[in-house]
Order: sequence, then structure tokens, then C-alpha cells
Amino acid sequence: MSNLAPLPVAVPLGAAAAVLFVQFIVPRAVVRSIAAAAVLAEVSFSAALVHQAATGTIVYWFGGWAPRAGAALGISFAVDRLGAAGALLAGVITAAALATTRELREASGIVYSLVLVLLAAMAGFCLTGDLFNLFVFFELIAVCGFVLAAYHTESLTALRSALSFAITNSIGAFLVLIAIALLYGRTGTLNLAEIGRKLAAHPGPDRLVTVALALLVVGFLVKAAVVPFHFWLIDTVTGAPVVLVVILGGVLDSLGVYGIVRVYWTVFASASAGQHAVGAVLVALGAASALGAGALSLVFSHPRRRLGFVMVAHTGIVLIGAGCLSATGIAGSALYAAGDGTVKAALFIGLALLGFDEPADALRRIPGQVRRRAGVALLAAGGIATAGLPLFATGLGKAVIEDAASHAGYPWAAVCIVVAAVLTGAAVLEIALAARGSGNGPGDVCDHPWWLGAVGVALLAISAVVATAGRWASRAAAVFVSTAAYQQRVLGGPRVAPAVAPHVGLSAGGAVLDLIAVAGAAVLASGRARAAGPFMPATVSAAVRRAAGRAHDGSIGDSATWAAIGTAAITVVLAVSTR
Amino acid sequence: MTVRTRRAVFLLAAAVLAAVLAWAFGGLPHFGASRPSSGLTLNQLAVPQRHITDVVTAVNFDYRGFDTLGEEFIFFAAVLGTALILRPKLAERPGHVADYATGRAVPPTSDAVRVIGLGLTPPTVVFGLYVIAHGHLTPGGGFQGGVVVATAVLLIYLAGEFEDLHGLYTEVALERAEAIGAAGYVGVGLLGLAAGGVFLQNVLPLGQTGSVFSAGVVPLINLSVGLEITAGLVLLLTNFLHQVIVLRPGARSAPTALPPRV
Amino acid sequence: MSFLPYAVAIWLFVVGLYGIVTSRNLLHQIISLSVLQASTYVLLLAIGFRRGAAAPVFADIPANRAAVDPIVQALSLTDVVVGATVTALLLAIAVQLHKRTGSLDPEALRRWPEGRETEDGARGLSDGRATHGWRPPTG
Repeated sequence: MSNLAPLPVAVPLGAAAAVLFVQFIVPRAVVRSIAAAAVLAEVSFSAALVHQAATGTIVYWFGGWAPRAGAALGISFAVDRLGAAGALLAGVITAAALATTRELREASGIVYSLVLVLLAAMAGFCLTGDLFNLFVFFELIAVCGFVLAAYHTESLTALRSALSFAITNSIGAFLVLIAIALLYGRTGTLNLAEIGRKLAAHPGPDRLVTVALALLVVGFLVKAAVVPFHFWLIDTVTGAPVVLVVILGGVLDSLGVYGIVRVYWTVFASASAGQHAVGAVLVALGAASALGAGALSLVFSHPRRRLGFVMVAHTGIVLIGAGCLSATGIAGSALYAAGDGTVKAALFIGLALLGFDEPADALRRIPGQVRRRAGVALLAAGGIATAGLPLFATGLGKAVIEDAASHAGYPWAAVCIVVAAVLTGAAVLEIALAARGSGNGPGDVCDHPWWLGAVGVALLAISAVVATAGRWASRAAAVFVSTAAYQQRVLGGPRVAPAVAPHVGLSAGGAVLDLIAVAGAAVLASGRARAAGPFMPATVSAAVRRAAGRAHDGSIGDSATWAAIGTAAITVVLAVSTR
Repeated sequence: MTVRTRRAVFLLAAAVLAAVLAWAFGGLPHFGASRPSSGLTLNQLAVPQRHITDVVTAVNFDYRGFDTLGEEFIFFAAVLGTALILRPKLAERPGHVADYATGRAVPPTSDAVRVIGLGLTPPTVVFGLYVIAHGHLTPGGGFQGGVVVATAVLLIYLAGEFEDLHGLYTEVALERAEAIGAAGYVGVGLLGLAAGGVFLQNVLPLGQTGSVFSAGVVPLINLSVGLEITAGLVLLLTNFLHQVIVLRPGARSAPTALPPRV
Repeated sequence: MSFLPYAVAIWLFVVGLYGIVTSRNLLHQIISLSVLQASTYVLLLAIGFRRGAAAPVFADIPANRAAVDPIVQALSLTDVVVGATVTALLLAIAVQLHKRTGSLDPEALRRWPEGRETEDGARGLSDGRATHGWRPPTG
């Protein structure tokens, strides 16, 4: 057993406590260094785990409680390549987010502590092999998230968004808990591999298992913030400090999809409980998010809000890849999530450089020339990456997901992805175009350090590097979907051969679609910028804007109602289609 | 959506959801039916394996101790969160400390309340410490006992005034105590690693079943968690009370009127 | 009657959700979330129950006596802690909201005009004037 496995979680947690202890004894720079050191430690441990997991899934039993006779007594971490890569991505994004914290003047020690706890929770979420442990880390992520969202207590948007975030996420969490209770009642265990084995022993349509799957999917979809569970994300992205927004955009909503696929492939895949139906539901929701949020991203004009819709749309694309229920789909989603997450983080850093790091009613700082140019450049490059230029992992990921979708029987999904890429790319490019011509501020009044732009560029570079990881992703995905091999690794038993790695790469067709998307985005953006008014006819556009604005006005009751509708619909669809 | 539309739509969705849940719950084993589960296995294993008589504590701090570490940090994050959210704003100043109620005069605390409140405080503290220390023997543990000890502090406030608490502790000391409690749990986990075992492995001698010094590291973890919960809860209470009783708005942060509803 | 605990769990869930959806007071909404959470306790503990069994504490009963499932009790403990802390956070936010606006009505919150955020953008970015969202430098 590798003793590295608990460290990506334990080290940031210990550092969080340490930061809280010393925050008034030592100067702020020391506190920041402790936090940075802890994050870098987590990144190195995760990278080491990625390397170690190449030889086989690492299984780590906490407290030394190895399973007896195939029955798990304790909690295990089951670290495969994708899980370790998830922890690594979380660390990298958090490191970038830490660079933006210099502008926070109040209670900064608490913020650093919370960011470290958030990082530990994200790492634990990716590495764990126990269902309730997954829930605990899910809740820990949520709590840190809505505390940080409410940082700007002067801003009504921030407070309201934190409320919405908390209540909606809690509803999702309790749905997950009900599903955990159901599965425990049926199988008597909480270990993912063991639940999978016990369910597979009695295959066939089973109402309890079907509804448990539906509730788990809904709970994680709430965290992933896809339509119709996305309302909390829009408000939160508008009102939260840059630190949280970078982490949200970079990694948090991908974690929701990760939760779904992890639980599906370890527990439900071999139990044949409505497989095709689940995939279809995920693809349908993903496509709806991609198109709907993509269109809405062109309607709203506040840049942070726009990027919120771009986030929802892109999580929809990741969801389409997950819904293909194949190794190719997983590989594509992983590539896209990593590549897009880094691009999103760079976009938010670009916005911060332009001065959008506080809610609009408290905007005070006018950035200087250098930062402004850096911000615009980041947004422009990020916009192209958003549309899916093949240079970045977004392009490769998109192409692979489109490939997986057509193989899985959803060719129309590929069209949705391309349209969504055009819409979201245009939305981002518009911000860049609009910001380019803004007035010159007198002198440098920005709190962000001058090297923040370099952090953004580094993130884009990482996205480009991930684009070369196609073969790695396909091997990691093959391991991810091998349910029997996972169970054997965790619980013992006869050896199982791992699945064959699918061919994953940028096909000519995929590259062409990517370039079409980029060109389309550029044309759309410049067309709208040149026109004196909005692209659509005036009356339609005003009505659409009003309706969209009213739908997304941050009401918690509305958000909860949509969540209830979504839950009921998904559960019924799955229940009916597994008769 | 208007509230009326929302209610109608929601009732429909809720009816469907309730029906589906009832249908699914029908697949659960009958209420009270005896069937095996890993929990029942632990009932038989906990006493011989760990010399511990409270199996729930054994599950919480030994078999599934890593979950409880996460739970402790949820509490940690939430307490820090309230400190962050309720922090004094720039325009707020500490004002005259007084309990107040809207629209009526607050009666002064009667002597009966004072005597009983202060008389109950030491037994509450002792009881809380007892619950923490005996968590592995009888129902209890760090979480439960920590709450009881924090209640003792609340009793002091209820029996007297908020200012009476000022001499007892400072917020910074509470934060440090909480940090020690949280770090203690991680430390015990790393202790397992350092002793050549696994994270959170029970590496201390197990002692005799039924004595206070049994079950290895579990009493240590209980103490650590108890410290964190006590400090955290008192910090939570102090933040809320400080917010309402002490802070007064400055000129700039008077509440702005809501616009007329359309 | 053996379905009763499960039925209670479902009822609590739906009622709590109803409270959140139709509430006109933030405190009521937050308590409704607690009610919703109570349904998970009931469900968990009902699943762990065994007829004729004692509590899983062997301090004063023989160690081979049948006892109920301790794992769901530990899960409920975690659930309680999580729920209490989330409630505390929500109440803190409600306190700040009340101080800021003098109201606890979630319906009033949603129509709060705030700069250019809640409006959907009467002047889009595409009109060429890019000062949208920025105040002109003063002095």
C-alpha cells in the first residue's frame, strides 16, 4: 500500500489548522507562504500518485482495516489514474486561485484556511472508494464553497447567492444521502466496490436500485450545475470573490460529473439497472445545458454572469461525454474537463485583471495599462480556446466526445456541441472586444500582482499540454470503466483482465469541426460587436432578455422548485424505462 | 414564477416524487427484519478487536475514522464561516452592550435565574467532560460532550450579561483552541503513519475493556474533537451575540428601503 | 404498519421542500431545510433497526446480545453535525441580510435592484461602448 494516498488530503487539512493558529502571530506573507507550500505539496503528492497509479489502482485502507472475506470494514481510497489526475487538477487550479487572494483585505487568514480545506475536500472526493466518504467530502466542498461565496457581506448579490448555493446544494446532498441509505439497506455495506459486487449478484430490474441511481445522479447534477439545477451557480459566480470563482470554474463543476461516473461505473454498471436510460438522460440534459446556457450567455451583459453561463454550457458538454457510457466518452470528458477548467480559470483571472473582481456595486479599482492589456489578451486567447481550437485540450476533448456520441447512438449531440462551442466562444470573445476599447485609467490602482497575467498564461499553456495526453487519457479511461477489475483490486478475487484502451485522438473530422466552431465564434462575436444593437431583432431580444433576467433573478424558491421538477422528472424517466 | 404558479407546479412535482420514493422504499427490507450487514458484523467484532464497548464510537473514530475527520472539518469550516460572515463591517462600531427586544423594555435578570444558572454551570462542565472522556465506553464522545461544555458557557450568558463572558476568553484564543483540536485529529492520523502503519491506525495499546484507558487512540481523538467542538461552538455563539448585541451600524450602513413590489 | 417509518421519511422530505419553495420568511425557509434533513435521519435509523435488539453499547449487556446496526447511527451523527453547521451558516447570512435590507422576505430579495447585475442588460456589450460596468475614474 502506498503511503502517499492520504497525504493529498491530510497535508492541506493540517496546514489549514496551522494557518488558523498562526494567523495573528506571523505576518500575512508568512501565512500566504504556508498556504502556498501546502498547495504545492498536494500537487506533488497527486502527481506522484498519478505516476504510481499507472501500474495499477492503488488501494489504501484507512486504519489498517483490510477487508475480511471480501467484506469491507473500513474506508478505502481507490486511486486510479483519473482519480489522481482529478486531485492534481484541483491542486493546480487552487494554486492559481491563491495568486488572486492579494486583493482580499479582511479576514484573509480565515480565507486561506478555508481554501486549504476546500482543496483537501476536492482531493478526497476524487480519491475515495467509499460511498459515504464521497458524501462527506461533497458536503465539505459545499460548506467551504458557500462560506467563500458570502465573503463580500456588503453585497446583496453575494449574500443571496450564498443562500441559494447553500439551500440548493443541501437539497442535492440530502438526495444523495437518501440514495446511500437505500443502497445500505439493500447491500449492508458502504464500500463502492462491495456494493457493486452485491448488486451484480442479483441482476435485473430493481426498483430500489433504479431510484437510488436516479437520486445519486440528481444530487451530483446539482453540484455540477447543469440545467435545471444551475441557478445557484449564476448568482454565485457574479458575487463571489475571485478565489472561489477560479476554483468553481476550474474544477468544481467537473467534480459533479466525476461523482456520477465514479458511482455509476463502480456500483451500477454491472447491475444493469437501466443503463441505456441513464446514458440517454445524461446526454439529453447535457445537450440542453450546452445549447440553452450557450444561448443565454449571449443575452446577459455582465461579464461574470456570462462566464457563469459558459461554465454551465461546458459542463453540459462534459456530461454528454459521460452519458455515452463508454471508455471513449470518459476519455473525452476527462480531457475536456481538464482543458476547459484551466481555460475557465484563465478567463476569470483575465476578468480580475480588468477590474471585475468585486460585485458591480462595489467596483472601485481602475487597473493600469499593462494589466488591462494582459486581461484582454487572456480573454481573447481564452475565447478561442473556449470555442475549441485544436491547440488546446478543449479542441481534442470536444472531438473525442463527438466521436463517442456518434458511436453511442447520439449523432445529434455532436451538432449540439459544435453550436454550443460557437455560442460560448462568441460570448467570451465579445467581452474581449468590448474591453479592448475601454478608457485609460490613470496610474496603477490594481491590487492584483503584475504577475497574475503570467499565471493566466500558464493555465492556458497547461491546457495546451493536456491536449497531448490523448493516449494517456484513453488508457486511464479504460481502467476507469473496468468495473470487475476495480472490484477485484479492492476486494480480492480472481484476476480480471483490464479493458482494451480505445483509440482516442484528434480525427480529421473532429479537427474540421473544431475549426468551424472557432471561425463561427469569431464571426458571431465580431458581427455583434459591429452592429449598433443586439444581433437579434430589437423586440424579440428585449422580451428574451426580460424573461431570462426574471428566471435568473436569484430566487431560492424558484431554484428549489426547478430542482424538485428535475428530480421528479429524472426519477420517473429512469423508473419507467427499466421495467 | 409567481408564488402561486410555483406552488402549483411544485405540488405536482412533489406528488410524483413522493409516489416514486414510496415505490422505491417498497423494495427495502421490512422494518426491523433481521438480516446481515457490515454494521452487525462490527457489533460482534468491536469488543474483542478494539476493547471498546460503545460500538457507535468505534465506528465513528476507529473503523470509519476518516469520515469523522471530514465531518470535524465541516464543523471547522462552518465555524470559520460564521466568523467570516459575521465579521464587523467597516462602518460598524461596538456600541452600548445591552440586550434589547423590539417594542418592549427588557426586564433585568432575576436573582433566581442568576443563582440557578450559575449553580448549574460547573456540573454542566463536569458532565460534558465526563461524556467526552467516556465516549468509548458509553454513549457519548467528543461531539456530544463538546456541545454540553459549550452549553455551560451559554448558561453564563443566560444567567448574566454578555459582558460577563469577556473575561473568560478571547476570540483569538478560541480560534487557536479550535485549530489545536482540528490539528490533533490529523496528528493522530499521522501518528499512525509514523508508527509504521496506516493513516489513522490504532497504534496505542488497547488496554482493558471497560476501563477509561482502553481502545487505543480513540480517547485521544475524543479529547481532540471535544476541544474543537467546545471552542468552535463558543466561538459561534460569541459571533452571533456580538453581532446582535454589540455592533451598532455606523452612518453609512443604515438599511436602505426596499422598492415597492411590482 | 411496517412501512410507517419510511412513509414518515417521505412526508418530512416533501413537507420540508414545500416549506422552502413557498416560504415568505428566511428563517422559516432555513428551518424547513432542517425538516427536510430530519427525513434522512428517520430513514437511516429505520433501516438500521432490528426487532428485539438492544442499543449497540455493550457496557452493561453481554457482548453477544443482538444489537441494532451501529453504522447508520454513526452516519446519522455525521448528518446531524453537517445539518447543524449548515443551519448556523444560513442563519448568519440571514442576520447580515436583515441588517442590510431590514427584511427577511426572500421574495423581496429577488427584486432588489442592484447596479447592473439583476437587470438583463439594457445596453449590451455589443453596442461598442465598453465602459459598461465600470465607473469613470473620479479625479
